Amino acid sequence: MCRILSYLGKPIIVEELLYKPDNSFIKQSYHPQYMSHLLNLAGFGMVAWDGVSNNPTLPYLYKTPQLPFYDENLRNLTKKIMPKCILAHLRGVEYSNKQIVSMQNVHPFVFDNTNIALAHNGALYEFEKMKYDLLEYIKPSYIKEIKGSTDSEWIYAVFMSQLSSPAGQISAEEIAKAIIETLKIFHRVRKKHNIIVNSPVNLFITNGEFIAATRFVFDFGWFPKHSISPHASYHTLWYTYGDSYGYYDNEYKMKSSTEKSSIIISSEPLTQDTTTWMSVPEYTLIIASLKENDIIITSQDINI
Amino acid sequence: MTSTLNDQLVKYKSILHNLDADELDMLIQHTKILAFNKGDVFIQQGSQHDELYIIIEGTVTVSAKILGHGIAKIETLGPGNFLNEVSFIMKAPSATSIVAGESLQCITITRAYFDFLDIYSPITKYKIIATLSKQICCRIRDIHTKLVKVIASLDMTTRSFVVEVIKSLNKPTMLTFEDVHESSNELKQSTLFKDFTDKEIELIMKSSEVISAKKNCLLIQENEIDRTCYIVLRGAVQSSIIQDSKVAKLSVIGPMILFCSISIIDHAALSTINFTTCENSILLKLTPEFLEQLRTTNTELWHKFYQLIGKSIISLERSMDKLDIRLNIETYNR
Repeated sequence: MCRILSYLGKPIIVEELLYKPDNSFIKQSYHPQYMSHLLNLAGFGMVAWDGVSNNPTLPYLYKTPQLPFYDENLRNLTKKIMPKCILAHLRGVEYSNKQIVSMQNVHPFVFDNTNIALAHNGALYEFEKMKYDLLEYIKPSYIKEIKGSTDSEWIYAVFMSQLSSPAGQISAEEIAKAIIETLKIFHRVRKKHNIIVNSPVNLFITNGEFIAATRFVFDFGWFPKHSISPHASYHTLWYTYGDSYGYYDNEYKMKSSTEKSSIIISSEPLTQDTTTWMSVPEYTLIIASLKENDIIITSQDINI
Repeated sequence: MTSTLNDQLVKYKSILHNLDADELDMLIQHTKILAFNKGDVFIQQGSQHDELYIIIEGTVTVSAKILGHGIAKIETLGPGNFLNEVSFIMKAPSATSIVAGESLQCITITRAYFDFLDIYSPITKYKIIATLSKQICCRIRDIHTKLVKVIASLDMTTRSFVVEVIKSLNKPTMLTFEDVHESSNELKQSTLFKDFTDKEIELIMKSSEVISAKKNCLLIQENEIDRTCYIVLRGAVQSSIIQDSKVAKLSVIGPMILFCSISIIDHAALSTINFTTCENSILLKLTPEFLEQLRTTNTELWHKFYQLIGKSIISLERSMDKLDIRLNIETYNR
């Protein structure tokens, strides 16, 4: 349910990630390998930071609630742009007329006056019960920015409210602290409403200088009574790094290097061959930061 | 018996000591000894192979493309070693490439034959898995020794005293099957027991204890001999290695998965891994006494059950290999 792709490093033609590999991101909308029981047909969104664009600290934003594999404009665009950081999201929701498929619900979310974007893979069980208890943890300026009906946008609002200066330079430590605090808030509110059902929260957060991603589930292994949840298994998270991503030695992969110049963190590998991909362990926060053309990868256990 | 068959018998017997003459005879009839040229890459990393190999002569080099490190030589293996076992048992792509050395000969067991053994000779399959599992236990101990040294040398955060106290006070409580009616039904229908009859599942459940364990309850402790088996019904269990109060997590074991320590395979071996609940959990506990009774009085069921044990040990080996790589490329818990 939902697929996410993030990239940080040397400028890359977006088409190389979205269309070219054998398990390309766009292909994951109609043929995901790692969560095949639910397709991701409820919209596509992408934020991208390009160092040579106008106002380079702010991302370019593209969103559509339409099916991305029919989107000719998107394909044409991806052949031209070469950002250094990308966060793309495919929305997957249950096949139900209760679901709202609209532009407002397409990830990633980026509020006004900030360059921090968030995309979410997962769903909070009984979110409607929790919603209004979350208000006390959200800064008033962010409450009015919530436009859609997803739990993900509320997670974003809570997360942003934990940051002291969302528009300035942010350290990896501050991001980690804000993510953990956000998860603790949701944990408290769930506890208040006695919600004890498997709820995955794989978050991807970036400002073009770092990517933070969680592989986390609240109450993993506890399912709703008499129902099979699409979130029953632990949602996957993978990464690969190297010099640059592209077609090398007859396959799409990261060009091997002792230098970490580029990294992809995503819900699933972009190729069938996962040899050069690493699965992130469960209950883990991973942060990739760009420091002088070198990617620093830190990871920590999430203990809520 | 021709001299060639006799030679073969000697070679097979030298590796699979626990098989009797009839079992060896059958194995010789249905398996092949393959010879490889030096330099042949007969297992390619990333692809799935439906054969299990056992070296009877010569050596192989095991290598892997490791993220950020290019191609690295991992080890050289000689006679008696199983090859491709993780990929074969887990039905997953191979994590390593294997290159033939000088005058390499291997017994080759196909998946079709391995599956066929379930019906025609479960005891032969059990004995092959037992030999393989013992070998994996040795590898687990070796990787553990290496990982412990690495963890000790890293500047990782240490577990707080409060958490240590919580874990020591946190003890599981007993439940009844009536309390977990829904989970028991799910267990009966789960893929874990897909090869078991209803009667066999009933017997396992009737002879097990159902326990409730709060989050952070230590179920199997490192450096102790513990021959208990657990099956998670609800919640989850985290496997980890702890050195100098520094915790390195391995993997999470979710519902309808069995786990145990290596003591169950090698009775004298200390557990190398901690298994701690990472959510409030409900588990099925199969005591060492029950498992011993199963082994001695209900061999048919024991042989099936042992396959689950073998799989869980292989999973453990795989997660330790993964941690080994992570500790080299990530700044983990620092």
